[in-house]
Amino acid sequence: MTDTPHRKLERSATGFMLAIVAAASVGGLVEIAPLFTIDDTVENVKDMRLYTPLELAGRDIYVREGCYACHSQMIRTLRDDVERYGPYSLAVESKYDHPMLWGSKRTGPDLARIGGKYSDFWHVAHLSNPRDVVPESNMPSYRWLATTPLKLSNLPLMLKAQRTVGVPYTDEMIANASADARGQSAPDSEQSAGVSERYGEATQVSAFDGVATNVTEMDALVAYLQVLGQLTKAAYENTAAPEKMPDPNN
Amino acid sequence: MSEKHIDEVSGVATTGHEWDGIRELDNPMPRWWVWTFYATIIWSLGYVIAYPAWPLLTSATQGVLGYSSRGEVRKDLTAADDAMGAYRAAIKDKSVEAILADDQLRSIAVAAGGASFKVNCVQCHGSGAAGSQGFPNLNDDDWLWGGKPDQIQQTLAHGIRFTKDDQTRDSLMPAFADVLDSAQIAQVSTYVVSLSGPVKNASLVEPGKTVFAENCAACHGDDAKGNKELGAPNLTDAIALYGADEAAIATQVRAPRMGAMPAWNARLGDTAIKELAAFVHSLGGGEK
Amino acid sequence: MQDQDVTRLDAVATNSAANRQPLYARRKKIFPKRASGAFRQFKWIVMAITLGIYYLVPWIRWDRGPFAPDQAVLIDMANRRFYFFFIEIWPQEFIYVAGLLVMAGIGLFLVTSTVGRAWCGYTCPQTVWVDLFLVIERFFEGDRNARIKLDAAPWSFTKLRIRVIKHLSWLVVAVLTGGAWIFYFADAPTLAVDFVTGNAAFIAYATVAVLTATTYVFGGLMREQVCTYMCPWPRIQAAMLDETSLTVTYNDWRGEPRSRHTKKAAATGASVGDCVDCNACVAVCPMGIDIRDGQQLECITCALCIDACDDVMGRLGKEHGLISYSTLNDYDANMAIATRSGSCSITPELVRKPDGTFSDKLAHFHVRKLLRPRTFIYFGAWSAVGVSIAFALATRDRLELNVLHDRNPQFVILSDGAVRNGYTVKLLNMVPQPRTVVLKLDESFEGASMTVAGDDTANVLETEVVLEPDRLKTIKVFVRADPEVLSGTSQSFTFVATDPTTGERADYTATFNAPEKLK
Repeated sequence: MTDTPHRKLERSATGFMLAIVAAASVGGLVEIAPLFTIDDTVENVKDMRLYTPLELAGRDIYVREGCYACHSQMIRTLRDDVERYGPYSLAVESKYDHPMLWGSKRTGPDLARIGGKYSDFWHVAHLSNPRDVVPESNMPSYRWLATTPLKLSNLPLMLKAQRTVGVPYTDEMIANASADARGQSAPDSEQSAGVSERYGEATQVSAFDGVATNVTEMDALVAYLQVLGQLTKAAYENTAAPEKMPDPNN
Repeated sequence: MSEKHIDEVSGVATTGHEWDGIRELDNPMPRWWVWTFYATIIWSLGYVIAYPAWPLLTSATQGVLGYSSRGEVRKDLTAADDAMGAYRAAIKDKSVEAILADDQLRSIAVAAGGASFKVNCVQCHGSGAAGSQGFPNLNDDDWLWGGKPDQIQQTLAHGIRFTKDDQTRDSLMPAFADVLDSAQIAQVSTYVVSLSGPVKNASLVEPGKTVFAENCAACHGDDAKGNKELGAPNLTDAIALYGADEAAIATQVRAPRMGAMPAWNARLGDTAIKELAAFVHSLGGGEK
Repeated sequence: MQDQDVTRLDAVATNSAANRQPLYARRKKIFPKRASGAFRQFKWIVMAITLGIYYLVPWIRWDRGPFAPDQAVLIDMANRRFYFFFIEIWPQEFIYVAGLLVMAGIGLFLVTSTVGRAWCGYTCPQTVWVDLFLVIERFFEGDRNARIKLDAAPWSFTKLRIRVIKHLSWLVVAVLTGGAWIFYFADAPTLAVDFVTGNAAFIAYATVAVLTATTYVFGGLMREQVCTYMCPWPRIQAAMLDETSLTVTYNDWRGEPRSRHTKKAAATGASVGDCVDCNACVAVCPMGIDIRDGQQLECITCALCIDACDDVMGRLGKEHGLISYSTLNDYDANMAIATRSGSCSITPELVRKPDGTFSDKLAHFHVRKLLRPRTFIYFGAWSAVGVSIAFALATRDRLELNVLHDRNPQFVILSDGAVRNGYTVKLLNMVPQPRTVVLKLDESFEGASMTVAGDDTANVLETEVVLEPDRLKTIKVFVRADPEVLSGTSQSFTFVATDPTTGERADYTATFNAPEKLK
């Protein structure tokens, strides 16, 4: 047997392993790597806003309670999805989601555009006991959220953590995180003005759980649910949307 | 390899590999397999030309067919719209009353409205449209703001006490805790209950009638049959949104709860509103 | 070590390279010779009848009035109806078709247990079409010997011409076979025109193409291989045969020992049987087997070997029936006579009297032998299913009423305190004529009245509903009842639908729900 290059390669454990890794990477290099450089992977939209500290806290509760196990946040480019839930999701809409919560399991409905669809009161009633408003629901009750105060002291750190993975929170936002959370759930309070100032006029300031005096986890979760699909209007502008954008000024 | 090892039994060359005396035959792939494999390669050549395929530095090839999943869904939706186009155009052109009079159009509008209802309305009114306390039952023949087709359409389009809509149905019942003393409230509550059933303390009915005439008749009418212009409920019937006994009525007199409903025009559009109106009207309580 | 210690065995490796046979064997062609005789005659008749039914039935007309097709046998997939002369089957009545299939199944048991694989030999489409293809082949290529010669001959223009014409003729038959199939699924005359002008549905062309291919391949090319390798039925049938079933049997108790030189053998005093080893039975067999090897899986009992053998026996002046339809019981009994219960080899003299005629002790077939518990049970079950279907068909309803109570809400309280329930009422008019039926609430539900949604009349006790021919009509009905007449949370009442012209009546007992506490 003469030593062909193939034979040599086959007989070198390290070399052959490297060759395997190189060969197996081709798929990933071709299919995934270019997404990082291709411009329209993530749409470029101007009106994309950040999660407020309260919404971010709500998002954490959403993750903590495992809501993603039954609810997706990803409206697919399928007629059925679009007709039921609204315009299909764009990548930019989860630009600030770390980690993203697209999901693939829909025991409950998709929540990507739940924001603004129902009233805060409905959400509180529904989370407290889903069967009160949707008799056929098999969702668990989350009534303790309304009585559990939100840990406000964590918020600056949470924002900071988000900043390290690329969410452009400013120092001012981080410094005021706890106050902003309190302000967003207490309309007409001293702190509420700062929220709109820092996060934009579109920010929804409301006593989400019906009580303005203290900030509960219910406030946070409802604030988060009410902002889903509301961070940008991009999906309504350049997609095949059968629905009109819900216009709060109408 | 210079020398080929030929297997004695089969007469086939081996790969030259040997493990404990076992050699691997170097049989060629079955021809059908090889040709299928070549066919897939040829297929892929056409595919990468026809469909989006090659990643470039900041973009990707789009393919000559111009396919995209977003384009597909747009096509699907357009096709669905076109298929319904004639009906939706007819629904758009006609009044809800005319739609209800046309057998075919009615069945289509009611089906379409039923679908919209399941997505948008069941959260408050329930999947059977039977409502619950504070959320009206849409099956019955009692209407706060009117049960004629155009009245239902108006309510759906502009909502009730929805501040962001100029044409929203609006009215306000004052909190009578500030106006009446508790004895008067007890009297008028008993009177209201007496209009539709037996009361606990009949002696309160007569004085209650006076209180009613002075404070309530302006909106609810002298006969307490309500006023749909103002959304003032009929107090003489068997249906009470917030409870029918003296205590519930008294609570309502002291600090009235008044339902609100969003305006759906902006979200759903005129045609879907008409379909919804036809659906709600057909639930059994629609007025002529 | 000494050489004589080693015993050398006379062994050869079965699977050595030199001995190993390929797992795949090429089909060896079969050239069946034309047979003639009673069974061949019977097979011609069966072939004419079965092909006649297949090709002609879709063209029979049957007037059903203006609202239904006038084709006697029609499987209308698009409208989900099956028409069979005066019978119209709706999808929910498929039980009748299932009943027919059950009858067909039991019928096959019955036939198989009495006359063996008669289905295979006479009526199976594979047999009928192979027979037809063989007729064509014989027409162009001649009988067995000519065909063997042609097949062996080198390719020449004549051979090519004959082969091309033969295959084209087969293809024509195949196209006609596939073509006839689609006429069962649409109006035949219309479809025929559409098909030729290219206006028929794609599925029609696809079906014809597939059936043409299968007919050509199965009937022309594969033939007996379909029965031997593809069809599960021979295996199942073999399990249903018993010792009293008729099968095509070579009666070796009179045939053996066979001899080609009967006279010479007789002259030497050797005992010879009736079989002269002329191989006529082998030559006619479409399955390519030798029936003298005994009953075998491949045999479809087409009985052509009986015809061939009887012909030879007749010419030799011997009795017919060397190969015959016979039961295993009779065969065994005769075999016992011919071999003295197995104590000697077959001795033809034992079954004959000294004058040469058959011994009286021989068992003969008699129809009575087929009458046994098994056939009675099969026949009983078969006719029971048949009678049940016929009775059910004769008495079935052509007006059906179904009522679905609204699940949500189960009841509605009206402003005057009355209770209302909603129902979806489905009226099924199963005849191809329009009719008007009267829907009413039965009298026992006092104080109740109904309103049909979209109808101008309200709170009536009965209402007329116009039904389209052969269609389902769904209406929404609201029933209201005053609280005074209601007892408890639920009570039953009956919707009655009647056709005043025919007197047909359908009813449905529905439930009326009410809240626990009524004012």
